[in-house]
Amino acid sequence: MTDEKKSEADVLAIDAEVEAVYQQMKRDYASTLPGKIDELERKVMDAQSYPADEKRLQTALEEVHRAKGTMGSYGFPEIAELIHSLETLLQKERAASSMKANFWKEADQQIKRIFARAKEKAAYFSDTAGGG
Amino acid sequence: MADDDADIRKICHLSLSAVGKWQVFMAANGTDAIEKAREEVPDVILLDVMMPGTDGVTAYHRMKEIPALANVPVIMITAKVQQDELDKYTSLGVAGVIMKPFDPMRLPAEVLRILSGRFQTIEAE
Repeated sequence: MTDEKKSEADVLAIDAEVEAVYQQMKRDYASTLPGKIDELERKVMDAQSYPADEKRLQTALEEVHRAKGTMGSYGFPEIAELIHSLETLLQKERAASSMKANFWKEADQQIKRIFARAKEKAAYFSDTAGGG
Repeated sequence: MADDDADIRKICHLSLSAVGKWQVFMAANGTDAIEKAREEVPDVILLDVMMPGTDGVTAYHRMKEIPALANVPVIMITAKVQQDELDKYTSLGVAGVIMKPFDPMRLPAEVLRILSGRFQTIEAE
């Protein structure tokens, strides 16, 4: 840090220029949201297609976990919450080691609903450049 | 600051440099973070927990073995996790844990808050 005496009040004094850069970054990120949701869906479907493959499920879980944090940090908590519910579902799947195929079958409709809602939100934020 | 997610690096760089007005070095993985930290010996290190290859926890342990970095405070960053996992990170001896999602405009203040608590703890000992 260049200034060790910097107080919390100092760092909270965000100037308009920084705020404008942040808003632009948020808009840029919003435009990539539909593609990111599609990519997540591919990863989850891949894990679903190979229920015995732990590695594919782990990959899907890591991607979902990462996306949840990033989408929320860019100011899209609604999508982050949906992705969090997906993560919870996948964690349950990982725990249900003896009945994986059945679990996927039962979770299928829930997963589809989560992705449908996430896609809807992502399209909205993308079209409205971050939700206005 | 180390995170394998380019979007997080981008927003953290804006936050820590433009809002915090700090000199920031970015790394995309744990190995890169160790090398950059060894070269620059920063005042504080922010490490994402989940990174491919050398993850945040491994990088933390390796940094603590480097004499120049042994006393540099490390803050772990992780997406929202269960309390037991959170306890696991804090028990490592890290200065603090910041959960994603975070407000980028408040991230520097959160770093200062954690460091302030750490320094108070040291003074009290």
